[in-house]
Amino acid sequence: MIKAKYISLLLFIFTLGVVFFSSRSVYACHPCAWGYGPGDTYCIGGNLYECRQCTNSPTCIRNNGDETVPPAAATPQNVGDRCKLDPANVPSYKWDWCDNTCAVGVPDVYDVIIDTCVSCTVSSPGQVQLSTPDNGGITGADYDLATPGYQVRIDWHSLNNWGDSCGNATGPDVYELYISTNTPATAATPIIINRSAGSEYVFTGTPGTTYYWAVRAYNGHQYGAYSSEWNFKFNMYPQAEFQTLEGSFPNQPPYNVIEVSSGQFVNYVTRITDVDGNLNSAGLYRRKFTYDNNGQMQWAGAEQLVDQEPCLGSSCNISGGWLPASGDNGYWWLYLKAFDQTNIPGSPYGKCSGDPVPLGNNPTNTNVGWEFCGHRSRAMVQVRSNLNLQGYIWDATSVNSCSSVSLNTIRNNALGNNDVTPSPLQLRFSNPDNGVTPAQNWSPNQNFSYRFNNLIHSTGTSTLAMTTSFMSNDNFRYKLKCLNGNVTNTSVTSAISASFNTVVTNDPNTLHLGFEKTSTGWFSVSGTVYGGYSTGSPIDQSIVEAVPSASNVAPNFPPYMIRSNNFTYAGEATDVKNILGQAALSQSNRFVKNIRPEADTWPNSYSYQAPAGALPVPGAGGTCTGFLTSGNIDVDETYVMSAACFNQAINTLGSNEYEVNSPGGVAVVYITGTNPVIINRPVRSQDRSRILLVSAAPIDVIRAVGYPTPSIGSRAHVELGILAQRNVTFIGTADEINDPDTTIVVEGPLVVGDKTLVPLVKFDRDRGSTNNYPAHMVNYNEDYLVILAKQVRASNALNAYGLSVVNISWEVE
Amino acid sequence: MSYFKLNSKGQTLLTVIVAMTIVLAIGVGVSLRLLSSSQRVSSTDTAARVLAAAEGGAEQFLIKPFTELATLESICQGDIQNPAPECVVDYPGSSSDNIDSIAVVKVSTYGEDNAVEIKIPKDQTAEFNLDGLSGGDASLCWADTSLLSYTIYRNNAFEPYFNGVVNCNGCSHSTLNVNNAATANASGCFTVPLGTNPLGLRITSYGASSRITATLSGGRDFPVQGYEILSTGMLTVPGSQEQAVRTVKVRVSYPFLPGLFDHALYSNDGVIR
Repeated sequence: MIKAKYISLLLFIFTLGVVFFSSRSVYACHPCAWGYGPGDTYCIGGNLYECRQCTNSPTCIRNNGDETVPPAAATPQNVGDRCKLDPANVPSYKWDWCDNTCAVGVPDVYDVIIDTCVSCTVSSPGQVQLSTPDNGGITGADYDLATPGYQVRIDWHSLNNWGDSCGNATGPDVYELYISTNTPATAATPIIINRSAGSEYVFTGTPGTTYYWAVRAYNGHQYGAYSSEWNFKFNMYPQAEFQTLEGSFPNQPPYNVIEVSSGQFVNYVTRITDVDGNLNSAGLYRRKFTYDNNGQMQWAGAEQLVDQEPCLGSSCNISGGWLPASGDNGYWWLYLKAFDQTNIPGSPYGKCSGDPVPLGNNPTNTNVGWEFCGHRSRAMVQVRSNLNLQGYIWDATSVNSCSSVSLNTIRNNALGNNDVTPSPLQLRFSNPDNGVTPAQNWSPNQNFSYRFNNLIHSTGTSTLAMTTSFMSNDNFRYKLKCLNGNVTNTSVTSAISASFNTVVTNDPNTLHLGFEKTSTGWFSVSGTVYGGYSTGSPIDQSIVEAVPSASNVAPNFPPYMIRSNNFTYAGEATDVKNILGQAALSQSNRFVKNIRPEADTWPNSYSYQAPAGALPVPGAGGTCTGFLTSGNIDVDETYVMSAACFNQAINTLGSNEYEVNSPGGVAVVYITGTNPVIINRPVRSQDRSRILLVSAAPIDVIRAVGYPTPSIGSRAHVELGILAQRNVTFIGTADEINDPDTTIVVEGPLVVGDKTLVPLVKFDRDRGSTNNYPAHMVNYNEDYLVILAKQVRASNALNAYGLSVVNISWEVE
Repeated sequence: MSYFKLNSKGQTLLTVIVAMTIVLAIGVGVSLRLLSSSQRVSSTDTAARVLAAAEGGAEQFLIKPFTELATLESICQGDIQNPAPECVVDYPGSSSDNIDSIAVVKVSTYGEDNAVEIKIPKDQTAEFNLDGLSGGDASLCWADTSLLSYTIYRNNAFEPYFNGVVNCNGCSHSTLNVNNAATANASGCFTVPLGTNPLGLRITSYGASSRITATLSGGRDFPVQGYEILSTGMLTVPGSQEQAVRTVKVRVSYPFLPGLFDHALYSNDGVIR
């Protein structure tokens, strides 16, 4: 019985020991037990304590040994001294113990009984199961983590079996992570031995390196078994970015927006790379967006423009052009995606968060777009619609203000009473993107004077230009004088073309044009004029001349083609008017038009052949060089020479005047061949005598001869009568603005005629801004008629000069 | 039976005589017809020959310089029986045609009258000689549907010449477009002042041909307008009694310059611009 009592006693002691060693029993009113911190709970003496943080700095006093008796005020000095606590925070006990520091101002801890304690058992935690990255796999390198570099999030499954029935009552539960470049990772020098309560860890490593890792659990008293060891290697996500990305418009602010017209390409060249060479595919995508009323972007669905699959190895390219259709007007994002064999979208699209950043205001940067996580992988594209340009055009010659469309608008005749007859005026539109359109006629059947359809928008400078063919049609020079319409930043000075910016902002854009007529080089005649008749169809104009208005003609010059009061004769119609559209043939406006001469009317049948008795030069008729200066030109003779010979005579003349043996006589000189006679200096007679040049050759009068400021009475530079079978050309400038001509004065008759060759008198001179003077003056000199007629009558030879005619009547009786 | 016994040989003779008579009659008839035809052919040939001679004679004188015509005027007075050699143009026969023909030419001036008529083809120019006149007017009348432009030019070119355009009265032109021209009076005439020392009145006929009569004021006569060449062609067959003649009368004006000399600027075929 006693033995049984002893055995029971021993069992009791043993049990007590087990309890003492296995579940420590502690009692209240202590500082927190060792190893526990605020929030921890533990059992002591059957009570469940919670360790708390003092909220106020305690005032410690020396322990008096009686926990129920308030200590006398004292300055705590040692561990174990009692601390006076704030009664509001310590409802059960007024005292605490200074534990480890007991320094004034350092928050302390205390424990309080919050429940009744039960007994706990402690065993080893379970084995941790690993999760990601996969064992033996590769993983990506994120760019979106706070710490730049190649990082991976390591995960393992949370452990349910920690081996302590009272939770952290025996100590905190933690995982120990081992990462090493060697295996086993738990060997001597792992890179990482991390102890934490969480089941993940962000590891920063080196791309291409294999890392081994394992995890075990610790419950405060015992470790669990190591997990199986896994390994991973960092994967390099593919990178995709635009190398070049260009729209159809010049780069304009904002430079991050690429502008293109529908129908024109956005051209791109991309580069997709992958350091570790496991590319799979890539794609180019577009996504349309609009702005709502609040200015917020509203997105449509993404569409893949290019599917570059496969895109294998370490690089591939996507290049080409996106051609927006007509319905694609608006704003778009273009962006790239690249995938490697992990099938995770590569950088920057899939692994990058944050906002794209515009590349900046760099007008020279043709690779506009947006930078996204360090890559130029996105671009904002504005697709502009093709637009129309139209407007009225009016004659603004006499208009001082171009603020509105004037009455003389060229428009559809059916629209009103103020129409101007449609003319052959043509316009061409050009800008850097359209190029130059074909010449555009008026649109007489539309409610505007002109219209260009389907123009490509351009932010560059646009130009409207008159065509030159119109100018040559009636000898006016047409300049655009002013613009008016809903076009901004427009201005124009008088010019053939008008340039303006930002032409198309609306559809249609209305741009009214005023044009100004000015004179080109014109001719003035003293005497009658006959313009020929050709058999062409439709009937041509025989005489076309544009004369400045009266207010624009130099003083003393009548504002008419014919200065004298003579008739004008024309085989067909004439078009001689001033820039105001007023008739300008002559002051008396006398004319006979639509003359239809018979085919054999002189000089149609004239051969320009010298008569049989003509003296050849050089030869019996003298020398080439001395022909004009020897004074041996006999008015009773007729001479024949080549153009080259006559040119030598002119060159020899120098600044002298030619000499004929009979003052007041007219010598007739025939020119043979087709090489031109070149009049390169004044050819003047020293008296009233004259030379009548009958030339089968063309005659050119060069620019150097002329008056800068002529007068009505200015002496002729060319004191020659001229009958020519080929063109007589008064050579003019090619640049009337910068190199204008002077005024040439010649004598008449100035005659051209040949039914086959159809020669012309070509008045090509142009005085440019000083066209208030005529560029050509033809002064009739009746000496040729009077004197030569008398010489013909007095001649001992029949038709010695080859020019005269007789009237014959014939009767048979 | 022996009654009368006739000889039959006489019948043959009679037959021959009758036949010959018939043949002779036919031959005479034919001959008479041939002689008549021959006479007509000879007459036609003669006419052609003398006309050709007359025309040839006129043409021979037309190509002479006016200075020579002035000389011949006093020599060639139109004496056909005894012409001066200078006035005769021979057309001798040949071995196959031994018929000679000649043209006897008379040269005289024309136009020395108060009124002178002139014909101007359409779009061409003709000229009245006014040399020696001074002052007064010339009245020009025509009845055609033409438009006349005229120019008076003078011996002294320093003196202003005068020109104008006159439309026919009451006529219309199918194509011509005329503005500010004068119009002939109801008689189809207009007057041109001659001014001082006129040399010529040049007229161009537009739209139609014109036959114009010019009459000087004050009963004055025009100066010589040119030469009249009267050429008479005839045969010179030896012993021939036949004197068939044809006469051609040609008037050739003094030479003048074509109408383009009236213009300061003239382009026959091309556009002036």
